[in-house]
Amino acid sequence: MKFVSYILEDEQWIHVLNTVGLVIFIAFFIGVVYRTYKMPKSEADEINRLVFEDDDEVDFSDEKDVLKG
Amino acid sequence: MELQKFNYDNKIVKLFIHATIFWGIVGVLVGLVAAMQLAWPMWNFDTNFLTFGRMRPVHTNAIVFAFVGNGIFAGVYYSLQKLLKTRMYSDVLSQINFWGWQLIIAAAAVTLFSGITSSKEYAELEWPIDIMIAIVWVIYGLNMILTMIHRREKHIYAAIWWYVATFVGIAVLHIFNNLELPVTLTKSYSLYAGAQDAVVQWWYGHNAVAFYLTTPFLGLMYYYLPKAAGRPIYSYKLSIIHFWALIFLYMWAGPHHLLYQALPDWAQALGVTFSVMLLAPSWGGMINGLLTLRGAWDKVRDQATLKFMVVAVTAYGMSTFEGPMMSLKNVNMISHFSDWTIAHVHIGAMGWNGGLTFGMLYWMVPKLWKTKLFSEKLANTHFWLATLGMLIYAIPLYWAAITQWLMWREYTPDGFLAYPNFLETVTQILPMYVMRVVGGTLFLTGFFLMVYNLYKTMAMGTFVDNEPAEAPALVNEQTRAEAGETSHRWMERKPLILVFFAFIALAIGGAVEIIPMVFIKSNVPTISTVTPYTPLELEGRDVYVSEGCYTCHSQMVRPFRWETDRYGEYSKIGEFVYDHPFQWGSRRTGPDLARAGVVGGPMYKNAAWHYNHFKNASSVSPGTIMPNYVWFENTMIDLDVTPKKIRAMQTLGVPYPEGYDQQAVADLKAQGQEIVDELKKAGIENIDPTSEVVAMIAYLHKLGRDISKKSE
Repeated sequence: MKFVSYILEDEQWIHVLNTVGLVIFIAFFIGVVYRTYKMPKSEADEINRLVFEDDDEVDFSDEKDVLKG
Repeated sequence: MELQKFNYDNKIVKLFIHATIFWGIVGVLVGLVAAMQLAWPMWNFDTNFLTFGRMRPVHTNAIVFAFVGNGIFAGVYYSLQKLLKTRMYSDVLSQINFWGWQLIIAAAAVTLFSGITSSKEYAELEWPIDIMIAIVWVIYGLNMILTMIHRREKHIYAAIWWYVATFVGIAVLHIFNNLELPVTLTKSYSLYAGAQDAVVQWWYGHNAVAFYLTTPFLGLMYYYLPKAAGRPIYSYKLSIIHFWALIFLYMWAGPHHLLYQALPDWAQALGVTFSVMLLAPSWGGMINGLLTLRGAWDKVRDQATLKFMVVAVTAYGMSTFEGPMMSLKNVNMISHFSDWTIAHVHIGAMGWNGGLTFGMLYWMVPKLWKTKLFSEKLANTHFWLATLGMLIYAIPLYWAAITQWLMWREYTPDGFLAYPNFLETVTQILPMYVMRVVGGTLFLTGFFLMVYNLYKTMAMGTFVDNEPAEAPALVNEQTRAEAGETSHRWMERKPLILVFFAFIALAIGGAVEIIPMVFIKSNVPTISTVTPYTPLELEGRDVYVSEGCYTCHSQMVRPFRWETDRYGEYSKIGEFVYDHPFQWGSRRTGPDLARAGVVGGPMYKNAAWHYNHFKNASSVSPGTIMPNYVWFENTMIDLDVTPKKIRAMQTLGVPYPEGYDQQAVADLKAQGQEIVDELKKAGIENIDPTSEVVAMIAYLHKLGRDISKKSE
């Protein structure tokens, strides 16, 4: 714990905090985008319809354009 | 596959719908009165319960936690059951959630009107109510997660991810921001002081907007917009990306509320950077919402439900564009402390939160009561009244903000402030405040129309408390991903893992922002001349907090020429090390008070002036909109509590001498007598040295006094 406290009390690293934050976010974002776009379209379509599984009328007329996901 | 029969719990949804409507009326009505108080100060009635400083937190809490909160619960309880094809896990937990929340709201109203407040914006409630909120919130979250675990639908739809993020986010924010040391049942001091308190508070304040006013409503949008439009959401993939990006980024952006203030530069830069980045995921959500309506715009023409949702999503887009712009330092310089922020907030609250809640209610009530809406025409009239009301409310406030800012910084050719009297900049914008009342009245009128329309609809229909349904049982889930299954889809059927990853995404930003501020000592350099508050000053400060003075007065001079010329030396971080809680404020309806105690400075007023100002503000400031605090003179400080307050401060690290609590009351009376003697010289007699007015004068004369001393 002393080591952690020493690191935290040293202000030198604080100036790179924004850059570290950006790097963490960009890495995370690229990962999410990559995994999401690998998802098959049929799978996304199926999940997208979950909301209508109770009793509603739904319009899938132009589904090819509609369900980009 | 075996079909299982079960019942949806519609009764809990009904209860929350009634509560939403009731508290919505109350919240908007209180807001309207607060707006009238700013336009015509006689509406303060010279009564402590009804002054603007108390009315404003009642309004914000009633709208945020009562109206919007009950609306969220109504929408979540309905959609969660339908999406998971199951009844809520526990009716008892649902009932505790409902009645506990109403008890919290009632307690909030009573305490805030009574001046019992911690003064942290949107977290004003005192510690016993904070604990109640934490308990009820955990019960709500537990019921939600257990319902997810016992569901009949394999995958967890996008709306529910937002509900999960809301639960996790608010739990974290509420607990960390409300860490406080109780003194009595109705009084506590924040564990944090000064700049650290400010960072934690605006980390909370910003993210309360994020995780209470944004994420749950995005969840509701993902359910109710497709339902109302009869079309699936535009892009499921976009919903995944904007969900993770949004909840990850939001937590970093809090310091944009403290630009040019006494905060380390790294924290300000962090807030700006991430605020600008927030624009992308926010607009991802807006675009996904609006594009869901492509091919269904003919329905928008006919249905008020969809009209409200379109305005809601548009207002969301506008607010989330405006927010990052306001976080740029050169824009923030203008917008901060002005009515710009108030206008911005109301576009979000009236347009995004109000619009989506109204749209949801117009869709849900006929559905639950199994009938048609009583009058589509009335609903459309409500829509136009609400939309016009919002615009007539907000546009004059934008105008007021620019006007006042230009006046604050206007110089004469000789290099003097053109409007050195702050009051001139207030009276100039009073016509805009009257327009705000007009906008609020239209909005409230529309609200009453909705109430009539919905209750007529309810009267026409039949409500079923337990709605029968059937669905196939959920087959045993595999722990690992199925062949060809993406990792996100795998996570969508693992509620606890989804909760865990949402927590991690949230925690990173919060930790990066808060931990360095708390640990790195050089972030808060001390100033040798700054001393703790005397007992009388401390009591005065508590009166200042109790009356909500921070709702109109800042205590933060920014490093601009037009501020230092008007108020005095700019504020430094070390000035606030004994401030539990900080009182920097966020709006200047009145002048900044950070240098009110600097003798010979532009803000200094003597004791007699303050006495007269509290008793009858317009007698010394003709045209002022400040309420009169006539009761200060006859209300005495509770001297039994003073030693407890000193001990609490010592526990928090304020360096009073050992055993000073025993000396505190005597010192308080001695200092009070000095002020009474000063008042007597001005012909003001019979003032008790332990009265609130004396304590307030002592506190105001402390502000900025220490840093005006020369260090030894």
